[in-house]
Amino acid sequence: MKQDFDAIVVGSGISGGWAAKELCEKGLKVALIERGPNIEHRVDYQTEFKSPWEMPYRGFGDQAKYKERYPRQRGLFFDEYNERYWVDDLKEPYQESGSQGFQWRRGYQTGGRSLTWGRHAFRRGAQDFEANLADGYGVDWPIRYQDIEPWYTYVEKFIGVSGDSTDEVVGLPNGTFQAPFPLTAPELALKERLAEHYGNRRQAIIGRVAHIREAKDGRAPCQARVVCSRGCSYGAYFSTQSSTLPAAKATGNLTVLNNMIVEAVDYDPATKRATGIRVINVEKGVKESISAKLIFLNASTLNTIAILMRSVSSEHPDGLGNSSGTLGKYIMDHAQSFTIAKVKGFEGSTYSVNRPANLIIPRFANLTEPLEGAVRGYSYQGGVFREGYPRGAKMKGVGASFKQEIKSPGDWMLALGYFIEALPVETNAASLSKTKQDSHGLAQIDVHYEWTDNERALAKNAAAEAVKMIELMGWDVVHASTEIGSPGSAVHEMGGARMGRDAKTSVLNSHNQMHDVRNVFVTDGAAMASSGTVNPSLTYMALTARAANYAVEEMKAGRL
Amino acid sequence: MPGIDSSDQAQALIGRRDFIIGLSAIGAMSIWSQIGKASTENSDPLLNYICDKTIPDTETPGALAVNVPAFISLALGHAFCNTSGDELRRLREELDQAAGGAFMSLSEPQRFSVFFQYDADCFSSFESSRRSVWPVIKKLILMGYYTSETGASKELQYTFTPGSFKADLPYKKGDPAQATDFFATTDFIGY
Repeated sequence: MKQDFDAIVVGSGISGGWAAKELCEKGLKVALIERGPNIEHRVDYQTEFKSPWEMPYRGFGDQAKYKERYPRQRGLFFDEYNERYWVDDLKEPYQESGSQGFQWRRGYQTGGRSLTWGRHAFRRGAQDFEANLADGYGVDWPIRYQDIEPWYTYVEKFIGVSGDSTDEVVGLPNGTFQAPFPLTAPELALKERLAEHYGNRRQAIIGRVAHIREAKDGRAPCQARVVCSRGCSYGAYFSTQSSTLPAAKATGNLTVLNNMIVEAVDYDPATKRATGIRVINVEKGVKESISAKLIFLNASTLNTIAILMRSVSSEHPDGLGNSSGTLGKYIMDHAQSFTIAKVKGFEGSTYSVNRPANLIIPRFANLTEPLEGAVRGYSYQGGVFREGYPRGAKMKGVGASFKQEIKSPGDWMLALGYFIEALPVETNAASLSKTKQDSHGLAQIDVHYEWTDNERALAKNAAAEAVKMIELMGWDVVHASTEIGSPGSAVHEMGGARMGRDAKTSVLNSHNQMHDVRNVFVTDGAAMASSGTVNPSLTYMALTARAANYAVEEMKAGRL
Repeated sequence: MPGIDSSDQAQALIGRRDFIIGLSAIGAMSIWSQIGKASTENSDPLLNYICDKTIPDTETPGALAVNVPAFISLALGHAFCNTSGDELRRLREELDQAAGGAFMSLSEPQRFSVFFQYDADCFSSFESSRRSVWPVIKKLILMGYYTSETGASKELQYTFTPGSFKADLPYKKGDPAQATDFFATTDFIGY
């Protein structure tokens, strides 16, 4: 039978862009399916060069509209300049049934959330692939660090990662780095004090970010604007638009299909293979079928799960590839909280804006230092800054002297956020609502999530240890929070179609290939079997490149 | 530290301020016509007064000159900082109470003296600042002023394309802050 394409990639975000690039470069004719409209690199970054006084709501945006229509999209990097890169919650409803709900921030357009992501790009360490086996939560990863290591190098070389190649941190392997962003004076003081006090057990390092420092592949170096989430015409940070999409297009093998919502994957019981996908063509208002030999699902964690759950047949009555019964279960997000401190000294020093890389204190709990009462660990991400004009709303003063005071930068402040590893728990799960549909006639996704006592114990420890390190500096703690925010708010939702060694307890094998259906691969966050303590996107990219390489080999060998 | 203006200094600036208001109204019309909303014509004399006295004209135009009252009308109409739209009425009530009568009927310098004390009392304790509507109005004045072209680029420094991040620069008191300092000016809890 003649197929429409060799391969279909569902989703054009961070991992989907990588799948399209790799499969195209290996000679496959690829359809890249995107549920939202196109956003053309440079051309469609309409607000990129705007100043606040040129914006109707000064860049803050219409807060009344946001409260009504974007209540779950608000958060870091959401503002008037980029609101169109986020979904309207009223138009794209979902259900959240846990006690703290589940914040699901989504970007339905070409590039997905690669346009608005936080751009931090770390390798996971060996311990992150061994933790499930060691403490029994979740199932053992079917791969180890050395399996993914060459693929981390491969993706880092292509996307460009800024980091300090002199770092030597247990549990946080160095990558292939372009030049690092520098630390400020208080951060350097912290780095030196931690080294004195803790040796190499606790360190302060500069964040590793997918920003290029030297031109490559038609991309220009980072200009330190930190208006990234508007879209960057320099192409300085990794996005689908700046990086993987041009490479995929250059092969001549790519077809991008926008405004196509994937309803389900079609399955042929005779061959036990997927035959293609069914889509809702949003512009025409009709359903269509697209066939291919190979399917990559990169629709983002929860939407990938939903597609598989909607792909029911007599052979797969509970969703495609769900013979294990684990589909939708064991979802995770990083638990986050923060400590704020007032830095003392350094009045004669400042910095000039803006650094896209955070200050990082990598994981030490249960790694370089034992911790009683909790498994796994956490890392810190943050930085220092001198307070700006908003401080004026919390202090007395009016008139010319007040204006003069606010003109200057204020006190140095330290903010340290905690990235707490969340345990994979069966009851933290996504399902399809039996009663509620979305505007496209598809069952709404229902997310149930509760933090466990382990995350709460780690949050308490993270706060206590942050206070100790701040006191070591002689700085003043303003607030050390142990309250964990809403699940989903880290925007690191993952799991639900986990990798594993056993088809009875996992959905995917060691190559992100479905145990049950050989020509379907899942390489977005849904594949994750544990959450680790670092931002996950670089791992999705590496797993995707690795899986694409394997899939094409298998295809050539006639095994798909 | 922030404190009271000398009335001499304030008087000296009045003539210049009126000139600047006239100029900026021309520029402001083009900006505000884009949103078809607030203009200076319907703005509240009390709000004009408070904006002017909080961030007055100095070497650079102040909050009234750059039409911060229009920004506040917009902000209060669109739920900025969780406002309900009732805040100016509350501000008037609080100031009248502080004045022991109609605040706007006071003559200078009594009126400014009442306002100065009202601000100081408000921020004298956590509880008093929580009770008062003034902190949110003050926040909106600051947001409006420092996101105006004048506030951002004349009063502060506005560097849109720095080219690189400089981690350690000498600083002396009085050097202006960067209006584009993302972490120093972003309210991560939301507006």
